[in-house]
Amino acid sequence: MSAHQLPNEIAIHAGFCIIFFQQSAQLFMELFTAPGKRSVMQPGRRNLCALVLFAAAAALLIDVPAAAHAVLLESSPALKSAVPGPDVPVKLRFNVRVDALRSRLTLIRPDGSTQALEISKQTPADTLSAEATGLAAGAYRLRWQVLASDGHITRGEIPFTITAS
Amino acid sequence: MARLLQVFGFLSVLFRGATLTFQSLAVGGIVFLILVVRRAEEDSAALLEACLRWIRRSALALAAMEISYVLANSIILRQSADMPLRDVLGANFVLAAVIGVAAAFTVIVLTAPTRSTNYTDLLLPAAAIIASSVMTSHSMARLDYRAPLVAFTALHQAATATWLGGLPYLLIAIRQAQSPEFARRLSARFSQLALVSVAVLASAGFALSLAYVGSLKAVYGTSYGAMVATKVVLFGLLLFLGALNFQLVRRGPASSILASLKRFGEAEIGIGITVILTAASLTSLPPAADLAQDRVTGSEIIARMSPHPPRLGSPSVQELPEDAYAAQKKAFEVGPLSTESYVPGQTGTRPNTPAEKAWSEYNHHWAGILVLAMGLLAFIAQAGKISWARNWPLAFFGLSAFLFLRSDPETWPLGPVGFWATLADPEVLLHRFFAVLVIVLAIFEWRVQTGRVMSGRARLAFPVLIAVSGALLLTHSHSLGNLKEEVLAELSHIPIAIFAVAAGWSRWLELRLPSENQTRAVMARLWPVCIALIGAVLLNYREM
Repeated sequence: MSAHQLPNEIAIHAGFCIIFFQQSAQLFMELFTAPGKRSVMQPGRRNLCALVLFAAAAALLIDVPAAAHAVLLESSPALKSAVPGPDVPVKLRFNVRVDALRSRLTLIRPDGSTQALEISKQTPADTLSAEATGLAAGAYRLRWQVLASDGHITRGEIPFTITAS
Repeated sequence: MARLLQVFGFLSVLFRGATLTFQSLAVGGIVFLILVVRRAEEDSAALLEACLRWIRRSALALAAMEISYVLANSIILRQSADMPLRDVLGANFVLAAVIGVAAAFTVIVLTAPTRSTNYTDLLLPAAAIIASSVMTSHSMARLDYRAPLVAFTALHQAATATWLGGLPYLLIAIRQAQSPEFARRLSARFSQLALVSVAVLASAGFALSLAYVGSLKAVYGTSYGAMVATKVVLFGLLLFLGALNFQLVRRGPASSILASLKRFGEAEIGIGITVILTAASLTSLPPAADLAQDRVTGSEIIARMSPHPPRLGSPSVQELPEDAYAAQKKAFEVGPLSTESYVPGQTGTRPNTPAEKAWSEYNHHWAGILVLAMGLLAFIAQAGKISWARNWPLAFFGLSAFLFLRSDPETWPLGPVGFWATLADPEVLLHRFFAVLVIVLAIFEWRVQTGRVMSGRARLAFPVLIAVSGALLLTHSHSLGNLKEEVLAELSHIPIAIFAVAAGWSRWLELRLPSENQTRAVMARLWPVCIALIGAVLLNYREM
């Protein structure tokens, strides 16, 4: 478990887990109860069962890092590369189809200000293209966020440097 | 928003696993109803009503999970990309959820108790439920061979639902059947259906593996490949239980056949849910075929896994980073980043220091010694040779003390942070809670082993907990890239998970099977061996 989760976040984890396992416990136990006997677990026992299952789950699940599956295969500018300015074509290729309309490219300038880049509509299904113009020398970061066609959201950052032309 | 962002990845896996489970139960129930119950020569109103009730409940739960997932995903998308609502509503995953929810509610309406007896119209919403799920699968986002991959995914999920989703209904049918002969006929019919489903799901799964894994090297060199291999192993376990069932229906002793069928069915459902959870975690990983760089090689695995003396000495607390979180944050800011793609809320990871690795290895190795001892003592106890060996659950006290002392080295009693101050930290509080929980379990199982608890249901707590732990171990810890250290750690944890699942369900079968079933004796010897093997794997765990 990461050492920096807030109490409220822990509570959200716990809440969802307990609801999920409480329902699962009832479904499971009801299935194995003989006909004619009590068909629904008593609340006390159900809660105990959910708590035990939650404890086991939390021990293992609370470490879960977020994950999805659109990953960046190649980019221009490349990660930590130095490229000449002032105009820089941006091209990001992913391993899957991405929804360009629902994806975002943001340039973070050396002074920390941000600029949304307009994504070109005429690109292959796995690629996002844009044009960053008028960039002075310095350290930049290109922040991207994509929605894959299967509904997964992924994001990342590409630090790069503009060299004096 | 920030809090939702933080737990987003966790929720995605949770909702996906729950959606796949309830989807299988709803669709499996419909197929069971139409192909098994309705075709039986004997009619049973009670059986029909029980099946319909569980189909309705599964469909309702499915709709709830779909709505929860689409809400969480929509909020994240809207907030993180500053996107207008109308754009969010046009996304593919929203359309998929709308289809899924509409189909689930159609199922609820069509299975109302007042309806007529023709249920073939349920196949249409069942197909829509599968279609909705396929729309958010890997196949929809592929660039090449999209249409055949979509078709194979649909076949794979439909066959899984028919087989694994149909199993609980078989148990319901056996329970509700008016005569043993009727139950036996239902079981035989379901066996035929299961055989066809297994053939379809294995064939479709093989085709999908060719596309998504691609090579043998990717099987052991990537997280995705290793998880596919895990699914295959669990599938083998299910087939083994299915074969036992098959034999039982044809040649088993008539006196215990129904009881045995039910018990094997319970274990199959448990392992089946484990497979579905594994599948849910697979959907969150990039296919192995896409990650050709930085795979773990065979020689690296051999070097890491080859037997090595356990680390019985620990680095001192002073050698560990003072503030692990600050070090992690700094590493992420100045790079190099260990992962370049992540989901909202996730950050990069910092390589552990040698002292942290040694600390972790020491923890794993001492835990391994304790678990190995428990497994061996349980095996001896099962053989009935040495009576005091039945006290093996008391070794859990050692595990609890270990967890208490070593899980949070910066806190009391090892670190400078005082006992009461640590209780304000939810992470430490949880660790303390688990330490107490392990003691409770130790006392509980010790009372079972020494004959102080005779209640049938109470004795099942321990195997269920082991099996659930194994299942959940399979759903955690994945990186989006090929992080060698994480893949190597996963390769160690996967056998632990499989042994835990096998231990839990073999103990379950030992407790539940009728005494005249000969498999019971085999199961009684199997679970201690599995626990000992978990200890052996832990003893050989290494991070460097």
